Amino acid sequence: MNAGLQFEFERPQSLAELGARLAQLSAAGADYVLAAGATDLMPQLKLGLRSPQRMISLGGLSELRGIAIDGDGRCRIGALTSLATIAADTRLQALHPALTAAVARVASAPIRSRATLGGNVLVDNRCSFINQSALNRAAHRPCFKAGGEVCHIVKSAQRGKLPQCQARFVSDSVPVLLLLDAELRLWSPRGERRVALAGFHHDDGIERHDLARDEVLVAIELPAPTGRRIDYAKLAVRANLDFPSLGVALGLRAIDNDAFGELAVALTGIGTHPGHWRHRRADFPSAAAMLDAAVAAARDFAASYDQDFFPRDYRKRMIEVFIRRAAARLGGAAWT
Amino acid sequence: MKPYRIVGQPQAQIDARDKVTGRARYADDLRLPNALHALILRSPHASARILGIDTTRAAALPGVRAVLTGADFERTFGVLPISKDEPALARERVRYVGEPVAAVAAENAEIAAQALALIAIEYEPTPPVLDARHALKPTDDPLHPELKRGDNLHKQVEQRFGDPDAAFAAAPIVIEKRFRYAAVTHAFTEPHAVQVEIDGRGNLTVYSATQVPHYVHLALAEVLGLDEHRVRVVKPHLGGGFGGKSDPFPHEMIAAKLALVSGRNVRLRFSREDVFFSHHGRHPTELTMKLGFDPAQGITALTGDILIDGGAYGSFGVVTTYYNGVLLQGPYPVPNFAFRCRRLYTNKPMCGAMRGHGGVNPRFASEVLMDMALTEAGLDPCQARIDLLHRENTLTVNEFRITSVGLKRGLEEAMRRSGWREKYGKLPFGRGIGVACGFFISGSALPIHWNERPGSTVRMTLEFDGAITVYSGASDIGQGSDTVLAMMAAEVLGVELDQVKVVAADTRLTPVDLGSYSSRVTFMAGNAARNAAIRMRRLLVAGACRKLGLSEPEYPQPQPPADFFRQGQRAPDFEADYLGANPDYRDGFELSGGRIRHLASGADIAWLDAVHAAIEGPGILQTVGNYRAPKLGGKFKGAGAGLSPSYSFTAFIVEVTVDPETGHVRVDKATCAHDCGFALNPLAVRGQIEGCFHMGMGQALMEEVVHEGGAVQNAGFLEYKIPSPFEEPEIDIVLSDGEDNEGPFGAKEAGEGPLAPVIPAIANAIFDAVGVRLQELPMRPDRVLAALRKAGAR
Ligand SMILES: Cc1cc2nc3c(=O)[nH]c(=O)nc-3n(C[C@H](O)[C@H](O)[C@H](O)COP(=O)(O)OP(=O)(O)OC[C@H]3O[C@@H](n4cnc5c(N)ncnc54)[C@H](O)[C@@H]3O)c2cc1C
Repeated sequence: MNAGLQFEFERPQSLAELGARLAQLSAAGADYVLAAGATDLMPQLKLGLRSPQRMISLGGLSELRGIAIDGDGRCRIGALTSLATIAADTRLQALHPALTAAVARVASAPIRSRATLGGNVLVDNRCSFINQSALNRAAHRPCFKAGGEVCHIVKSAQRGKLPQCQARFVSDSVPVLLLLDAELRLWSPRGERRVALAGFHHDDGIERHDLARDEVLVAIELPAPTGRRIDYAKLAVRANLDFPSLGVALGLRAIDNDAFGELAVALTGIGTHPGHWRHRRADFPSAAAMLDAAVAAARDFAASYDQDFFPRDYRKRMIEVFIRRAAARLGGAAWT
Repeated sequence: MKPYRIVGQPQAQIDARDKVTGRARYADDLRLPNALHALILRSPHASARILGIDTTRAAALPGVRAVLTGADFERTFGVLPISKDEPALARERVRYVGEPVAAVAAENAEIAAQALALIAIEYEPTPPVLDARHALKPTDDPLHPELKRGDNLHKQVEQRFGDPDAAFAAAPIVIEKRFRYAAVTHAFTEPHAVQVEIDGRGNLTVYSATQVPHYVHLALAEVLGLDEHRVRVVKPHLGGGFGGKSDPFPHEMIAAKLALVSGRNVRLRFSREDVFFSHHGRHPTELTMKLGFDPAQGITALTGDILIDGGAYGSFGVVTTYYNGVLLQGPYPVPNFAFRCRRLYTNKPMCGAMRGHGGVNPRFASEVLMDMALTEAGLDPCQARIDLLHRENTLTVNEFRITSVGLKRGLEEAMRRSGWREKYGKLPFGRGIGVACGFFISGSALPIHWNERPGSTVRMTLEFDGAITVYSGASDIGQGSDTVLAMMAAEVLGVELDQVKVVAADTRLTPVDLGSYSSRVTFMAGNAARNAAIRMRRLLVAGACRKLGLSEPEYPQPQPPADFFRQGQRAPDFEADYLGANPDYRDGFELSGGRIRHLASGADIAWLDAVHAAIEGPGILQTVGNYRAPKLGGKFKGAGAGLSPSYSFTAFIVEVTVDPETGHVRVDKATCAHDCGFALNPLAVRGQIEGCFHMGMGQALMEEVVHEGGAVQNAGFLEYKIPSPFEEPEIDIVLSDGEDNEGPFGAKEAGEGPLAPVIPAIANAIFDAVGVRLQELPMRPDRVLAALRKAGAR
């Protein structure tokens, strides 16, 4: 049997119980992994990409589950809430239809019924050289993310020019959550904190985000709607199952009666971390110029490599197509 | 309406309920007592010398019962006698990433895995040959030094008929293009699995997920050095093959050898990644094809120069090399024809037979060229194709005997139903409709191992309780061959389907059948079953006559075949007499509703009473039926390739939407016309056609095995992109209303032929939609977009 699947399993029933356990394990320097729906985790364990001694399931923490919406439209989505539950929630859909749409495009129906929103925010970066069997990894040399000295996609890294892992950020929900100004509620035995989702992810395929080892993502919180209308579109060859080769969220918000007051863009699938920009109409001579600037920023950001079904040039090219199309859906023909 | 009760009616497969309720047992579901768990150690190198293998630590591990390396096998093997080039375990060198190098059998999977980790292998990597072009280059270190060649050519075939050069010179339209094709794989549901049971006398029963129990039987005996009668191969329920289970495999040899060495039962199962290593899929191909066309005559000449990348070993590759050329001899006459096809060895998992074997890739090229020629000539591509189809009862230039051609009416109907005339050339930019045709063999007329035995034999028994058992070596791989055999018996003997049991694919209990490949089973095993049933019917009718005091019917003597193509080529016999569409069993009786009725006198008797009367003497009723293909073909070298007693014809009309900004292609609707002669089981035929469409669409738009440094980079169903149900369009199917003179009840094949035209139909629809011709598969969005940009730049 695969070494990655030989672990101790525990399932604490409350945050308090979990906290005690985490404090204990941390003190002992123990090796463990937290699991939500485990739809990202299990394939990695089966491939032997990780072989933790212990898996601690968050599944027993009912306080981490559920969607609460207050009178002002503020939402709190428990990190353990399944994507299927989120996609089916009609109140949420009325408030944030783009979130529903993005979540409904994750993987497939069976996976969405296990997968959680917290897991989706924290989903591991991917690369065609790392998400592989032990034999395949042995056939190539181990790469940065496998503890090696080389990146097989950025050939120049072999010469030490870009000593950074380029595994792709692939979460479908994060671009929309960014445009919704989401905040993350994090909890550890050391205390609780609240951070903005913007800036939470790092420009690195290995050390991907700000979560401490003993920290748990408890909830994703969304402020009351700001009037920003959001569009999410995903590039994938199939309508089912595939990770985004590119995901583009576009948000348009009126400021001072100008329907084109602010344009926000967030990307997934195209770099080591989500791209995210906001442009104010006031800073540009025209709405069209603002849109051009958004396109240019996104294209500059996209360090795209051949690590996906689609070749890099195509994916880069699609950034502009996706942004302009989303812009047309949100703003009609009035981009002047 | 034909006078049939069972055939021609949609029938659920006889094992459908068992399969959907989980009752069906597949190869890995069996539980042999006390079985050892076997695991295979695979090569991480695409090309390397094996300097040493040390298995001592693995062998010493408690719980390990047997360890094997290449040194334990003397003989190599291969499905074709002319390329037995594959070792069960690599010796001296490895030729692809994933090649089996050593194997262990242990008390459980954990111990087996630990043992694998303890095997030390010293490799010396050598530069791999990763594509066919590279493989053409001279080298002093070819993959197969035993061929004594200075390059990696495995097989080269050249054929020439008529005078293509003169025909091109005279043709008003001549088009020549280059096409490229990625590797694609079968992607069947059930991974390979094998279990071996060994008895106290050292006899083996091998339960394997195979399409070809007979060939596995022969190969096991040869590789293991056992008398053939000591090996029994059984195929349990099987979850899809598509050609990917039609070879004898290393893992079968390994599991059997482990059982012999350990004296214990052995279980060996594949992961999905293992299946990608085993592969045997469609050859990556590069070809140039040239078409000469005269609006007044049709195709005047067709030539092709074809390069196919075979991977590390031979498999069916020699046949593939021929099929890439010879299957271009339909569905239209090609009076001047030449091709060269070369198969190369490369350091990748081997290619072999895959649904539509050898005919799929060249069909994409020929039907795209055809479309270009027809549009250039200003002809309607659909109507013109109908007009150009082969005529019935003709010979092609390479002496294929074309008998029934039932596509004309079907395609006319499909044209009407798809709205072709209203849509072709008239849809808005971005939407298009396209058509393509194809043809395929209904079974190879020649066996793989030359012999004079029938290709299919069926034994049938009928016992006192009315139970009918059909014994056939044919392999039901999900396509429904067991059902079709049961239908033959039930129809001829006048009973319901559930009175018939099929015992199949067990080399000890069932007579030899060559297996499920080349779309041969319905035609060949079907005819054998029908003949066994007609003989059984005669025994029953004799019993009835005795009870009713009637004299037995006078059966006509076997007739010399009327078909002019068969004259002089075969002696008249019972089998030939009862081939085909004839619904008249020539006995003047009606068998149905549990009774047997003499039509002339009206006298009747219970069916079971007739059984009892007939059985008095022998104690059991037993008959045998055969199928032997007629002697066909010309006298030139390679004349046997592609010979079939009959050919199926298919057309697909496909509608697409192409997004001109992203290049994304969506198939909106497909309409198929398929000539399978008489559709014995229309439900199964439709299933096959839908399956062919899905597979064809996958190869057309997204499927591709990606290699990097020889390693398969997408050995799983997340990154190897099979279309999901969301991509599947509505499929409208028009079945032919004709029949074939020699097929059982008039039936021909339906499992493979419909695949090939799917791909060019999609390509031709893309052209109608946005005006670009794609010449590389898969037609991924980035390629469509690149073609559009190139066209825009012009
Ligand atoms: C075939 C397939 C297709 C997929 N397609 C997509 C796709 O299209 N789009 C997409 O975005 N994703 C896709 N995924 C990835 C994955 O299914 C989703 O991202 C999913 O939302 C992950 O959630 P989970 O609960 O299963 O996470 P898990 O696998 O349980 O966890 C993922 C990671 O986050 C950590 N983690 C999870 N929850 C917490 C928490 N509350 N606190 C602290 N750490 C936590 C885990 O330790 C782990 O490292 C796909 C997966 C598969 C197998």
